[in-house]
Amino acid sequence: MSQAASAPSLWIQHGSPRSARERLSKAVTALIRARRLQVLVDHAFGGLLVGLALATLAVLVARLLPAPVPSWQLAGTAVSVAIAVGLLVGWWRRPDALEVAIRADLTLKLKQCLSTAWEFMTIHGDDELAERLAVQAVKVGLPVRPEMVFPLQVNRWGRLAPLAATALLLVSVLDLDWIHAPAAHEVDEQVVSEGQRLGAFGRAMQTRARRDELPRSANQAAQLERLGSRMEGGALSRGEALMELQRMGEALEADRMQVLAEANRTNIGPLHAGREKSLPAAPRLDPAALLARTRRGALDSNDIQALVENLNDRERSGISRRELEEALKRHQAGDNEGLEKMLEKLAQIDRARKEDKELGSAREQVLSARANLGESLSGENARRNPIPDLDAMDDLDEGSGRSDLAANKAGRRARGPENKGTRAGSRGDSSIALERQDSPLSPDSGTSGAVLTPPSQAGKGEVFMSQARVPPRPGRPSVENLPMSSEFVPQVEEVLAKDQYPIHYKEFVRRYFLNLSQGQAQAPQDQPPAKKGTP
Amino acid sequence: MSAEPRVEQVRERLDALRRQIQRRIVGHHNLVDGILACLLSSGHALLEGVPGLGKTLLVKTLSDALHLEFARIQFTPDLMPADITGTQVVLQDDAGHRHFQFQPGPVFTQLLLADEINRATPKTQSALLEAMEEKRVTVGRTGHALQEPFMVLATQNPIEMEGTYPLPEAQLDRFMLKLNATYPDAGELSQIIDRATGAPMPPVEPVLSAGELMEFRELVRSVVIAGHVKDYAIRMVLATHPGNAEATAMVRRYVRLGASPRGLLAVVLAAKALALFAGRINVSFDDLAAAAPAALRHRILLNFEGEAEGVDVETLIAEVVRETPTVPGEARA
Repeated sequence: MSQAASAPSLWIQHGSPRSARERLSKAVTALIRARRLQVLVDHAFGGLLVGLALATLAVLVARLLPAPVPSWQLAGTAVSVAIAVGLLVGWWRRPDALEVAIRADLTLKLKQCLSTAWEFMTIHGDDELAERLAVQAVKVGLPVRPEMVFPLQVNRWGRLAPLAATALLLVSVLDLDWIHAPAAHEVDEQVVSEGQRLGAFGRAMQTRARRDELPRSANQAAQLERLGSRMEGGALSRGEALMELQRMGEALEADRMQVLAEANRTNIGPLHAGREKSLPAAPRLDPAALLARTRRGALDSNDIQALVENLNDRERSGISRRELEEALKRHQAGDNEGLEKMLEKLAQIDRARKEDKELGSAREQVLSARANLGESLSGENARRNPIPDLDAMDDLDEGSGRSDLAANKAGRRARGPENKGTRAGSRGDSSIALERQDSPLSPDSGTSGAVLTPPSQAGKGEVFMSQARVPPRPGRPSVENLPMSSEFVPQVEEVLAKDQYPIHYKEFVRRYFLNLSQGQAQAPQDQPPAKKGTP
Repeated sequence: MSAEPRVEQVRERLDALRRQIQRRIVGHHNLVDGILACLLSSGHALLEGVPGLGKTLLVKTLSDALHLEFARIQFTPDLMPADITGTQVVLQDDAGHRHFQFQPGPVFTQLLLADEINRATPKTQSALLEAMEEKRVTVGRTGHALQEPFMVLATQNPIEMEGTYPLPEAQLDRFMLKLNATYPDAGELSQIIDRATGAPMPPVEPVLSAGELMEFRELVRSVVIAGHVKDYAIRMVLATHPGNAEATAMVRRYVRLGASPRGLLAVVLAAKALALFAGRINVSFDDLAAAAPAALRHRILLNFEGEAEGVDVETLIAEVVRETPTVPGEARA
């Protein structure tokens, strides 16, 4: 203790109090500056570490996926931005003076002299006490070198930065092809080939659908193209591709059903079921163009001639000759309303025809792809990736029936028993007969073919059901070749042509006549269960 | 600040007092500092230690070194409250008239040694409650003020349990600090032998008057404590409460009751005295940490699990001091 300090008049004497307060202020200001610099450096190191991590990630992504920007540019940008953000945050977080003084006290072991003096000088405003505390703080030793209290040093973020930089370097220079390699080995050439084919078909279908303004077809075409792209890109294994194709086929069929149901609701007469005659034959005139010309008053004699000439088609669409003649008479009298309504109906059913055609065609493509993939897979099915539905195709007697049955089986399993079988074919064997028994579609009779009613339409009208056909496998008969005595062939064909027998009974009828020809009156052993109205 | 903070003068006077005490007492520096802190903070001290450590001698030496009235009460089971506070006695004057007159007990002094305080019954122990807290004694309907400064220095033996009555919590809480007398080391024992078995001990000269002591007491109260240091003291005391978020793991597990607000005052006052002893007019974190054990050890009650497992309160307080952050969110430096 100095003599001045122990003088009786002053309890502590270390220069004048004013100068002590000034020295205290200067010391704290210098400490704040040093602390701020330290915070900036700390945040810069934090930004550097985050930037390096982001750069590593960016370079990795850029190397795995094709990126328009070079990797080094991505890395540089990430690091620069992160450091800039760190500095900005550090600049924004201004240190509190009292906190700085407390830290200085703790670091220099000043027994809280500095912080207490600063608090009483700035907050409490007690001048006398503040002066005494300032003198005491000066006496215990103000930090003459603030960088001793808040040194600029590499913090923990900075110590981790070399690790991040090493990771960035490794990601930049290491060969990453091994990441792609397993995917390359798994690519199935046949799936890719089918994907190319489906993609091309989808694109063409999209073009047609847009041109003809067919929304459902456009949507399904887009999905088909997307599926084709995924298959072509190797994103799907064979099993996955088959599952996707199955779903696609079901969606196409459901859309097609919907189109037919909507067309039926227009009261233009039932659209009859039939394999190749799902809808009336396409007209040789364009109803939409005719309607436009009628509305413009530009309907000429050629158009009327065309309408009359295509009357057969019109009749099959639910428009009678009489109605057409009346409409034409009223048109000639200047009243276009009847003719316009008629043409509107025709235009609507024309669009439904086109949708039906497009969706049916797309479904055929899908079924074909499934069959092709299934053919290739069948050799490996037993040991690696069995697909029971495809094996079940062997039970069918028709190429179309095979895929349809497989799809139906899978779909039925997925949908549950309440929604079994959304369609039925016109021909088939006993397996198909079982399918038909499960189907909620009830057979109905019509003037030009079997009329089937889907569940949604039950009791409200008739709907025409059609079925796509996939060519049978080459070199393998899809229909059993039954020897038959020639004397009964005409009769058999006549009976089969006249009567509306279910598919599975046609074979039974053939066998019946075959037995007759061989002098056997009894029915074959695999006779199906007796049913009302059957031989 | 109204008082003139003659810090260095205080230090010199206290150093002189210590020198006088050390003429008889060997070692016990912490004990002496604790007693002086109590003396300068208007508190009372409870000295605990096994027999033969020089507790009573220390108090007697202190009384000799101070110009203060000294009294000693040897607490025994048959001691009555009136034996401490005093009683009304019937006096007959020359005219033959009789009247009651209050005969002050030994509590009417400035430095009271309550030797082996835990040997008296709680009723007798409680006779000191009013005197220690309010510096007055009520006998009958009359209150009698005690002299200032007034300080009780009690001793107790922690070993002997038979025939003792543990101090009630209220009585314990009246003691500002509880100081533990520890065994001297080899060097100190050597000095003790020389002093006790050789020439008679030199007399102790009084070096501090009551007036000076009162002045120093004001000076202690004028020591400032900054807001963040005060917050640290509060956090530290709250950390002894098992239900508080600041509580440490040991406190949560073993403590039934934490320190009272009086305990917080004791910590801060003792820390102020320690700061003054160190020549400062501000309290530091270290002052609080140094004052905490003596101020809190008798105010923390262990639960059954703590008692059963023999948990040491000193360890518990050390953990509290260690884990209470000086700056919120940061560990103590």
